[in-house]
Amino acid sequence: MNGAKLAVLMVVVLVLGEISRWDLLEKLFFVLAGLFVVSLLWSRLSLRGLVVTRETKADRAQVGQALTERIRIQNLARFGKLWVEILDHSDVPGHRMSRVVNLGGQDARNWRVETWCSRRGRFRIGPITLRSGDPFGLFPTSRLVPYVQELLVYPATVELTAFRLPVGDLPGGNSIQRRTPFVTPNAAGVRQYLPGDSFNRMAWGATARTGQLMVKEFELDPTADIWLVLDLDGGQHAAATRPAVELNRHNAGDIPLAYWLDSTEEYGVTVAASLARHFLDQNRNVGLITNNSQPTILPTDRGGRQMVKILELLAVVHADGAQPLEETLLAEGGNFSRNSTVIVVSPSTSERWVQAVMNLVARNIGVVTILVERSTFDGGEGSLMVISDLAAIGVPTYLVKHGDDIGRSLSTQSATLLSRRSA
Amino acid sequence: MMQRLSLRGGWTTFLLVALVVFTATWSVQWADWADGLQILTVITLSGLLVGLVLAEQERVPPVLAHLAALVVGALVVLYEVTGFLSSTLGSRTQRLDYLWVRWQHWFQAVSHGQRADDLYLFILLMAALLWLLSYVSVWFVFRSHWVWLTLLLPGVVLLLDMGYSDRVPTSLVVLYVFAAILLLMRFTFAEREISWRRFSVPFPESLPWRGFWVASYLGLTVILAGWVLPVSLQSSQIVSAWDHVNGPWRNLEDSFNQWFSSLRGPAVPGSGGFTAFGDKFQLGGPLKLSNDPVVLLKGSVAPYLIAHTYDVFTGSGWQSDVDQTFHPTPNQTSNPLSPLLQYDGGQSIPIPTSTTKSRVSQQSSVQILQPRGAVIYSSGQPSQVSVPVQVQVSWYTYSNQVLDVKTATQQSTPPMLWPLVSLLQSADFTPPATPTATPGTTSVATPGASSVATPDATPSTTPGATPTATPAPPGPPDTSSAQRALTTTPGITGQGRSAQTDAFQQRRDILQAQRALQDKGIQTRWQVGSDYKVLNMTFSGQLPVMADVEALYARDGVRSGDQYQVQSLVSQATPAQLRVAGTDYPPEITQRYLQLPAYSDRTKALAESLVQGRNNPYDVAANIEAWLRQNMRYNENVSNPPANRDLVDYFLFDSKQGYCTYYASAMAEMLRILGIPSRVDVGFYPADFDSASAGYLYRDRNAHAWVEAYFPGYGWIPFEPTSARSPISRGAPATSPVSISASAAGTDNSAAQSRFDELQDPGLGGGGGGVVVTTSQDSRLTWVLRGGIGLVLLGFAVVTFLWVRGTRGMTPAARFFTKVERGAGWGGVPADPSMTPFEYASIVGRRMPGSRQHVQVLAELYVRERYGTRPPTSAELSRARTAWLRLRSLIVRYALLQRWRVRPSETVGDD
Repeated sequence: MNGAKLAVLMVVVLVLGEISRWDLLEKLFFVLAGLFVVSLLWSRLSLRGLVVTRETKADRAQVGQALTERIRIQNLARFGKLWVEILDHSDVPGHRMSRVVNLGGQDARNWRVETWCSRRGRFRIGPITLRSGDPFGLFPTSRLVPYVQELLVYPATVELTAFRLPVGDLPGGNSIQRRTPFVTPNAAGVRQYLPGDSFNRMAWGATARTGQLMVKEFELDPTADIWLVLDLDGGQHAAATRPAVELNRHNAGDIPLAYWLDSTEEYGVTVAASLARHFLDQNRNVGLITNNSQPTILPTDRGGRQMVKILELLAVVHADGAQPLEETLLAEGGNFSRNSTVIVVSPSTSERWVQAVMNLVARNIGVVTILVERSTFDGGEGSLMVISDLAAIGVPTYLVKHGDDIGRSLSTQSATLLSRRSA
Repeated sequence: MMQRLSLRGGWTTFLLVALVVFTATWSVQWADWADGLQILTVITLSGLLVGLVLAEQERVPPVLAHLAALVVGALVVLYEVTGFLSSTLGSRTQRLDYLWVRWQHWFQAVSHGQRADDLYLFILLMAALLWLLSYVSVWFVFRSHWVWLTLLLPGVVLLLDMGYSDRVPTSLVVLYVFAAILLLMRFTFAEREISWRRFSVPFPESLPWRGFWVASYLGLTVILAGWVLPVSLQSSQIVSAWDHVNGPWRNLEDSFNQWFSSLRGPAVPGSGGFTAFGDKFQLGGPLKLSNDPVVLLKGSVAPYLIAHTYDVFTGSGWQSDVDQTFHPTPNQTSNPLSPLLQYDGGQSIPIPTSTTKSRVSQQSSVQILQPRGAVIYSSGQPSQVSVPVQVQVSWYTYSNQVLDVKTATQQSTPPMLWPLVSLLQSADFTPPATPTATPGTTSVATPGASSVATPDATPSTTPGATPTATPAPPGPPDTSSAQRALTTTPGITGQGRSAQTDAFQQRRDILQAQRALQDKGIQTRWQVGSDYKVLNMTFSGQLPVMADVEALYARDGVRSGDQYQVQSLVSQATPAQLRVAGTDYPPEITQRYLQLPAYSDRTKALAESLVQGRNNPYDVAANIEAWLRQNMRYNENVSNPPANRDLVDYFLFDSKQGYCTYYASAMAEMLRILGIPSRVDVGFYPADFDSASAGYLYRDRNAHAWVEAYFPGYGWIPFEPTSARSPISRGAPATSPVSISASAAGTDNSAAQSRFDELQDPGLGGGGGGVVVTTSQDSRLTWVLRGGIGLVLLGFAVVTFLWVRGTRGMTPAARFFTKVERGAGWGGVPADPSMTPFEYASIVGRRMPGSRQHVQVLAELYVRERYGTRPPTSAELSRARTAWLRLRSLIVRYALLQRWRVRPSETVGDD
């Protein structure tokens, strides 16, 4: 655009010089023409011979972890580059990879970027735009480096050392005598090796004793399934009006988790992820049900792979559902077997879903509720009535408020205290 | 503290904006349009600072900021303009009132289409313009983030100043361009810095300074290249087209000239300084005159047209000190004197008889084609102009100057005194026959006595009363008695009332004429003889010197197409008459026209050597004129003399070449050294007759300077010391030049001959018609350029020859493959004799990216044709030709770039 202005100016000066026969205007025209040509050439050469290398350490991260990238830009040309602007189009929050560098002939610059993953979700790393031009801004030039990589940021998980399911209601201990193709902690016996059996099931001791290849057989966990029901009904969630923790310059590189938990949604997701990790670490079967815009049922399973599945699901879910929690509980109630445990995580202040919980309790399904106190986020309606209703039917309830430490809030002591107080 | 003082755009940006704006300010000041422009420095500085302060206050809405700026600007401008006025006008408020009255008059004159003249208003407009320019320049950069207007507006002001004044040096344009380039770069980086900071993009702190140096080098390079490039793009067609459509611009120029008619200039762009016909001009620099028609004169002959004359030589230029000869009279009550004399159209301009010997009247009809201010041209001593004019003359303060009333004529009497003198000539101070004594009146006049009119004696009359003369004793009354006699006496009746009434009326007229002179600071008294007639009159005070007319200005301005008739007295004095004119120079002439700057001894020695053998001023002047014509070479393209050099000395003894102003200055200075009053005239030398216009067409290239020397009784007599011009013939009015060979016989005047030829055929001017004097330096540059072009063409021919050498007669396939070998060999991929065509094609394909397929096609075709039996089909040849065309560009690019190319392992686009 500025080049066009200069061109117009050149024409005007030329015409004036012609009609006035003034040598000075002719000289001015030549000066402007020289400036035009030099700037154009400079601009055309400003991005020649550049090589950009971008190295991202991982494609998975978790909220609270640092994402590390290494960038190298190399100038293969003999002439230097006065300035090259490397603009990153990543949508990772807080990602500051962009930089302006000055490069000499056959020169290179390297730098490392460490980004604090503050938000869960699926993000894009790249592409990069290189921008440069002549020193006068007449002919800006840019080129796109179409390098794109996906980054998935899992929600944060909190160590729940004090969270316990109600002891009296903890089912399990009886063998359910059901064989399973999965490797479980419960070996049910050995049998002779058959073609197709995995080598990791070999019972070497029995093989040594019997002199023939023997494999172990497993049965399902005697403990019951644990279902996490995460309420993502959009009408029930709220965002905090102010952050729980004020940031300052000193903690910019080490931001506490409470700063990012700025909504009932983030609290619910983090609680669900923490519970999943807690129970999966105990080798329990954990399943997940969400009622967001695309309701998802993740069947119960155990192990690290289930943890990954749950985290990947929780990384991208949002409170955009329209189905109320009670409908979800009624609709998915068939998945809950007797003696299984359902942990409901919800900010809902509606008492109607308590009725659905009551039905589950009546079916001898253990229910634990974790209420995210919405009133502490936006000052709206409190969940006291829900708590009292749940206490009335003997459902243990944990209350998580904005700014609370999740690990402390989900301690058994606090739940007991809450139940007693409500009772 | 430092944080508070930091600018988002950077102080460097502000300093560059200030530098760009100040180039415009300096151009106005150096153009020296009027006195008082030195206040523009403070004005510009304040505008820049106010603009900076307001632009940085983001919370202040622009409208409020502009209003505040206007108020502050008005205060600053008025404060500075009133400060420029003399403190004798009172306080600043009174000075403002004074300016307000002046400007009202100016607006009235302009609104009625009259010529106006108020330099204070011009200074105010300049101050306001530059204040606004300074303010908006900073505002655009720091608030609107738009740098182009900041770059352009000062440039427009600078170029306008340069276009109309040769006092603005070209180096100022160079400085402006350089500063503008730096500002453009600095602004670009500042905007990027702001953006980078906003988005937290780290950048090297040294980057702005690196950019600064790079822009400096680039700027200097392009300026140098643009300045020395010996190429001209001028086209006569465009100029011709412009001449047809430039009416509005001409009108604008005319209007401006009319509104501010006493500005110094304007001159024609690119012309020498003297062609502005202003109050002064400087010598030096090349003379570049255009072929533009300026004046069309219809008359019997083509005379020298005088535009302005100058009396003060500063050593480096000429100027007029006529303003200093006029002293405003304090306490003027009515009809005050003006330094310019006003004459209506057709009114005679008096000429003293002391300068009219052997002068004849010459009338010309002048049509203005290109106005130069409001100047009216004359061909000699102007005596009448058909349009209202203001005559610029010098003034002289007389002290007890005696005038013989009886022999006085209108021509010999100063025009301001003539009304009184004519009354005195007819006055009869004979006492009344039947005097009636009136109490309180006395008669004191005595024949032979003289008296001076009492300033506070105001005549008074009583309505219905019959005036009568006061009884007087024998002897004529003096003016005081006459004044007292005007006191009315009621009840006077009797015989002789009519005669008494006439005498009374006559004396009252005398008194009024005397009072009118008294109001103008001229004191008069007269002596009455025994016959009761006035013998002589003694006067004191300043009077215009009508023998010393410097210039004529049209009272209502001059526009293109205006016509007027001018009548002048042109000298026909012969050399013989002038030789006996004597040296009885009047003091009002010697006072002004013998002024000299410091001059060298050898100049004086030269002047004195030229006197030898001459015993009268005319022969001396003619000898000096002839010596200059014979010994000095005419050259319009002389460079400026060294600084602090006496210009005449440099011209006479060192350079020995120059153009008309050099010749005229040298002759005038030598004449003055010898005690002969002389002056320099500027105007036009006689033009050729233009049959299409049926008149003498004076062009810009006719602009000229020459010398006039004063001869008692004959007035100012012109001399032509410039060797390129025809000498002036005596005894008849100056006519068109006769013959260049006759005029400059025996002189080395090839330049004059060239110029003479150009004048004979104006259409042969260089380029667009202007006089283009090519310097030797230009010639060298042109030859260098031509040589460079020749070398390029030669190189191209050699390369072409080497490219096609030996391929004639080959089959197409063989020719294509041979050229592949040749081109690739130049590019560093030579063909080894041991290689087969396929091996070589493979190597070429590997070394030149994208060529593998094409070179393979050519190799296969070549091998099959060379070693096979089946000739290529037309389709195969067509495919081969296509392959060759694509391969050729690859080979050329590779041959040109492979030396500088670094292996592009991974380019940006491939990422």
